Amino acid sequence: MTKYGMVIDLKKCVGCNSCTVACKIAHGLGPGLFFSHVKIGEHGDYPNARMTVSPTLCNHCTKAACVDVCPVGATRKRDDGIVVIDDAKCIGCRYCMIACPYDVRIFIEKGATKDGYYGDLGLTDYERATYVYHQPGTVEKCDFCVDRVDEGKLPVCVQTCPGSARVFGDLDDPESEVSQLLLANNATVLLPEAGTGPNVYYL
Amino acid sequence: MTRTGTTKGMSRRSFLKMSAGTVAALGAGGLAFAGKENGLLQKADAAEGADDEWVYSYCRNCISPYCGLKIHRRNGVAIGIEGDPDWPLNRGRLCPRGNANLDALYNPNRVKAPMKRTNPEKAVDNDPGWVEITWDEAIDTCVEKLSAIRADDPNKLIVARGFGAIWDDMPMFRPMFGVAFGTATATEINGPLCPFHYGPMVSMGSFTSACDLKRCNYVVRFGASYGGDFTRTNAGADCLYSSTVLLESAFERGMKLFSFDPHAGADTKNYGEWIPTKPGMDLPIVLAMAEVIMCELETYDEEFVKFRSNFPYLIKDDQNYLRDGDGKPMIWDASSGTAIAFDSADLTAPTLEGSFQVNGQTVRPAYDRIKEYVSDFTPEAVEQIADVPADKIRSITEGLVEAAQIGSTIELDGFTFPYRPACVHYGRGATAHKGGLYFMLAVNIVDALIGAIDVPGGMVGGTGFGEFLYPGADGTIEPRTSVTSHASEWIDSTFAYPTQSFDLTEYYPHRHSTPHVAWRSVVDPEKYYMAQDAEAIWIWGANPFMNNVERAQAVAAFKKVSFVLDIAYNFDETSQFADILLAESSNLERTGFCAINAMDFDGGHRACTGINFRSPVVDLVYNTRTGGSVIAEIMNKMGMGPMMNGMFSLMAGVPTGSSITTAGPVEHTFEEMCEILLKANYGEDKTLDDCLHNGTSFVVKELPDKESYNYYYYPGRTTRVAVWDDHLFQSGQRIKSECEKNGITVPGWDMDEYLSYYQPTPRWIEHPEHKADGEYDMFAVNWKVAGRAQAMGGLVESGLLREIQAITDPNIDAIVINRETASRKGLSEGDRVVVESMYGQSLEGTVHLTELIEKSCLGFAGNYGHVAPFMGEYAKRGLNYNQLLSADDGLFDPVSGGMENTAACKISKKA
Repeated sequence: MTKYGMVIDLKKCVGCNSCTVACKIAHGLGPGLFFSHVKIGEHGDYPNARMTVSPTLCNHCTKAACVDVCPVGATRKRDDGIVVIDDAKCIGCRYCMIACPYDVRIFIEKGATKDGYYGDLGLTDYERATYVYHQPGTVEKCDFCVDRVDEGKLPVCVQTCPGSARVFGDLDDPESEVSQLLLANNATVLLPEAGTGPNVYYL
Repeated sequence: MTRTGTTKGMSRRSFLKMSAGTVAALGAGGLAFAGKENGLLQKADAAEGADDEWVYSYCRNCISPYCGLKIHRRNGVAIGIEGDPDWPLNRGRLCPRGNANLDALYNPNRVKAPMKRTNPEKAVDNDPGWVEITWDEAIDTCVEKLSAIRADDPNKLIVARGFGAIWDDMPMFRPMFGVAFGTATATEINGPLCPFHYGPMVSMGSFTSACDLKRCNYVVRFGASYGGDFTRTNAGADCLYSSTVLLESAFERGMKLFSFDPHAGADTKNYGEWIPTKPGMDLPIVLAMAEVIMCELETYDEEFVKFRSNFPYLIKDDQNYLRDGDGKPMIWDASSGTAIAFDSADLTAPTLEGSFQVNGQTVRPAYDRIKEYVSDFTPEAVEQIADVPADKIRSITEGLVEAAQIGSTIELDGFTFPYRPACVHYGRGATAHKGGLYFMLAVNIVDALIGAIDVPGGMVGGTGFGEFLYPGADGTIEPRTSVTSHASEWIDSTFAYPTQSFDLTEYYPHRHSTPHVAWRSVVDPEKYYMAQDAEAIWIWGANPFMNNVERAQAVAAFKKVSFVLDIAYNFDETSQFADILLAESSNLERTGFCAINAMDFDGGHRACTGINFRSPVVDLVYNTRTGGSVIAEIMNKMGMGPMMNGMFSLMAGVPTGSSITTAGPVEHTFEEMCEILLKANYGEDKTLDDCLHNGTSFVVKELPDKESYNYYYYPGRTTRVAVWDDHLFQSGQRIKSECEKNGITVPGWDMDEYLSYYQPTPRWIEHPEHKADGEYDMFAVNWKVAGRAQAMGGLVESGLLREIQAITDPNIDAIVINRETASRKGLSEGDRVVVESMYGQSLEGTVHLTELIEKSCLGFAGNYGHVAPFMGEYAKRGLNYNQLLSADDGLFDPVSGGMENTAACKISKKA
């Protein structure tokens, strides 16, 4: 059985947020809408302080809290582990947003697809062509670029990463790069105490 | 893992064999999944649409513009972008600027059509009263104005370009136009804050230098963060890795990095060590490193020092080489006890130290003189100047020498190289100072001592491949002027009095660029001995009002001339002074080409050459044209077509003797020239349309590893690095003599001070900011950010990039200050403050407290804060750091032209 997951090597991430730009472009996400991003921070005291990076996205949890709480079955976990939302079913109740401990889901407000980045100048051709695929009043999130994955391609954030910090693959395949990385390193997940079984790992 | 190269055709690269049909099928394949959950763009109803295709282009949003792109085009609109996974230089990766290409393309604030101004009053912040005109009117107006100037005196025109909107045809058409027009002033607005190039020109005959990340184990960096602030995604030493990837893989391999920098960036995030350093203190630290090696360790690469550098050349008291009867520099040979020519077969034991009498003159080896000078710069003495612990300098230097593995060799493709996996290297921050050129020469000395110049593992050149240098008459490296990019910076310019070039090339022969000088000489031609008044400025993709310092000088110059032609992407500050605006097309709307061997910053694409071609991915969004296309039309209409044709064939790389060439009297459009270049190189059956559907290039020639190191071409004792820069010294002496002959001094300089920067070895001379009045107790510093690096791609107005920066990086648009310093000054996170520089300029902003900046520094990330009224709102946010600085007479490096990149400042809470 395939179980998709991601390993992010925090040492290799340089915080450029190319993943964030690629994600927003690939999914037509307008102002204020993010499926993922990398926050820049720091750790330690001068002069031994170091820059830190915090990439976050949907963890496609094994025990996804969002799936359990969805009253209409709009959020579901595919056989390959990718957690997806059917926007035709989503009623926008946002229980999933409350249930998710990672704050990675976004609600598409009613006017969200009307205004692009350039305000009074109107939507650009790109915005007009891409915003229509968002249903106002529904919840969205990172779907590991499921259509690309189904085509045999990598999620855009993985493909585009300048430092090759992100690795995507089948966690059930012991030969996959993600499995090998987890075998060789002490990986961590976000909020393990939440018991959600995240499938995004950090090195 | 060397792969031998191919020459022509698509024979070896399967991805390039893909037919248009294959690509179209791939594109359509995506649509088969329409209707899936949350698939967004893919679950389109346009599956039936005829136009739904992934097509190819390439990105030119930085100075290393070789990343292959794939664009998802549906119904004529570009809706998706990714790096071309099969393109060997970026392997599907893209940086934030590359991914933002679509935002630049559809930016509604772009210049959308050719324009003329109706308000004659020119100012940085008024309304020019733009009126849209036809392309014919725009071009005819330019032709009329420019032809009149050319007939009168071509030197009355200033030709200038920047890094600009799209780094495509501009680097070629700017010089072509300037030369064909006949003006003496062709300058670059980019450059004076990044005068990075003379050092590698001397040491490697190369326009740029890099650390050989593929093989280096120990690098000491000055003045730039590696990997994060620029975030290049193209090319590695073997064409397989991007530079950021190459850095990360070097770290994984165990490479140690020591970063002397005012600010800690991504390169010291996990592996490297940051040594907080005050701005401008790089030179004394490197001199201390030389002191440790020469005076304390006395361990150096003897073969390199004695036979591959001019360390042993005998120097007279007047600082000139001792020469034999044939004019050859001489070396004291210990075995014969005589001075003999540097290239004598009898030379077996070059002497490095001591004083000798030859023909009644006292002479000493350059090594001896350099050692004497650096002996004052003990780590303890430098600690007093630079406030960096002596122990730190000493231990890092000891580590460097050890890591260099002096004496070791490595075999690449059957060729034996010295193996020196360690070096000192640098970025622009350390070079953009008055005295920054000396810093580069000091680095050359240290890297020469450990033998780590242009050999595997060390500091390597990156201008191109093949024989782009040769040993000059004095036995030292000279750039091959026909091959090396910007070799003009090394060559002496012709002296003329009165002055003909507004950027004063007569007095700055080794400048990277001196536009800041040009604005002053336009305003006050008499002071700078100008032979003529300026009448017009031809400017392309350049913004001296934001990207240089001293906006007021540029304003005065642009107001003074009667005609400004601007090829523009944005209604930026430059456009405010234009009489005619020629609206420029975006990356994805252009026909174009770019050579893939132009330069190299971080060890990338050392062994890869070729030419990228592209044709428009989408129809024009607005009424714009490719800059090269407009210039070609103007040149044809001015009767400069035949000159352009010849220069194009030469510069673009139409193979010599090709039956297909642009040369000749026929009037070619730019697009025709691109097609000719393509066919001449890759076969008459090739079309630009192939590039759109099959990939952007037909040839990538991958050289064997060995061929990407200069040492391969001039191995062993066949050439020498000039650590004693006689070339620079002679330039100073020549200008001194010319000035004396004409009874003048270099305008704007005290002659003795000017000449103090033309000495053959680096001298530590305090910078202006180190001599500021005590109340200015802080130094302003600046660093690149990935979303803006080099202001290219027309991205400055991108809402997407600016929004992401705002939510992810607390340094952006803030004034960054050390937490302890802030506490001492009573400042808290988010306080509004005023920063005033020693030059009387000020900026107001919000402070961000951090541990990641040197305690005396105020940091400004990126360069924002546009003021032109018709720019997009995103561009106006933030701060324009450059406004704190000065490039007044005597305040920049008189060799490189480099502006002083810092200023002493004071900070106070806003009342």
